[in-house]
Amino acid sequence: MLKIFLAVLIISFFISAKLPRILNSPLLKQFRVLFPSWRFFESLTPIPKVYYRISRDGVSFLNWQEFQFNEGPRQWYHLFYNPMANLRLTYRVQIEQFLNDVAELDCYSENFHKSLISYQIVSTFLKQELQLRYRQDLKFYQFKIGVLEFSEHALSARPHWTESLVSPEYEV
Amino acid sequence: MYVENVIHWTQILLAVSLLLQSFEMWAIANWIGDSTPWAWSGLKKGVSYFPNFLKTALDFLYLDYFKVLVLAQFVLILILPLSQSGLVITGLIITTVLICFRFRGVFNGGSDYMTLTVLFGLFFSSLNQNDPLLVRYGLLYIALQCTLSYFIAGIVKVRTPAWRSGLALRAFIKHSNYPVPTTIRQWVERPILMFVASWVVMLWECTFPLIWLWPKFVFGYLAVAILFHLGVFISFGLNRFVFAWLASYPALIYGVSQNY
Repeated sequence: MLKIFLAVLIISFFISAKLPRILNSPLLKQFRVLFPSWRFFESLTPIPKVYYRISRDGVSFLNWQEFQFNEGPRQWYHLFYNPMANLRLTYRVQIEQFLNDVAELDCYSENFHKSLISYQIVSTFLKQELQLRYRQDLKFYQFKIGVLEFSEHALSARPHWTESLVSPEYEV
Repeated sequence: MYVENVIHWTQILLAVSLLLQSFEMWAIANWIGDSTPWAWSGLKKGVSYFPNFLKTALDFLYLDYFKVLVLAQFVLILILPLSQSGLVITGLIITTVLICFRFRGVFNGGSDYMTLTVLFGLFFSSLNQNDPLLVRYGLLYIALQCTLSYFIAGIVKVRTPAWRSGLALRAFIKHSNYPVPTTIRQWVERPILMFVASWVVMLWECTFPLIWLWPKFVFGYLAVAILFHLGVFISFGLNRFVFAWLASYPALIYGVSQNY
């Protein structure tokens, strides 16, 4: 029994360690819930960030500002029921997914991002959020996605910003 | 611990976890229709390589009957604590996978993985309830994966210099996109606190498998686990993890208490 247990332990450890490479197939990615990955907060990975700017008159844009998810204070009942927060978590994941998708693209073209589902989700989500926040003030908007990168070895490192994409200017 | 009690408690805790997820998904179903970011009309491009009959079936399910899917899962959840039927567990596996599929593979990540892990363990145990070995292996699978979930998370952290220095925890709290409360964000200005907290988590996670050698410590480790998951909820808002992992604990307690 102990030998079987050790064998399963080793196999499961191996699968979990190699999981990112195993899940390169688009089909397996859709079913990746069947392959548990326990690599939480694995490393000081680059942290995705989204910045946006809006235009109220269609002529000039305001300054870039970081997109922050509007979340109210956490309440005790959110432990049991918090659907909007969990839905917003999926958008955070799609921002990271977009950056992974960009990195995996074999070639670059001016409108490469439009072919990505993750970009579609992120841009639609941003449009929806900005419309809620600015309502009639919103005429045009533009966003950019990048990452904050940290030095793994510096104790007091300031993050370095690397831009991955600047979107077109969208009219609402 | 009698196996029947272990399975019963696992089913109850899993049902609680799934019930909370189901309530949330019912609300979320109202926010993923047409013209929303998660509209299926846009996502279906991702399965363009599927056979036509499958694409038609997915359109039928996700465009018009997603709430029916959630409702079906809800009914199965209510039955789960009352029966060890393999059909009920199979139904829950299928509905969970279909819901995750709707969100491009996973909805919540870790909690989805653990939910399915517990479901698969229960499924193995239900295949032949007259076979004590099969029942036992199903529970041991859950116990093993629960142990690995902490151990692997600890190993990947302790191998990273930024985690060993406390910088990773500081970066996650200060810069991450999670809704971290202001009080907790202020803690990042205390490097010693970040260092100690990082090492407490890493040591606890990396030594988790030792409960298989010294089972008397299992309740202590699980008490820390519950505090850890509650801390993650308070810091990052990840509520589902608490209940998903809780459902695996009866099997873990059973697993470590066996004579091998």
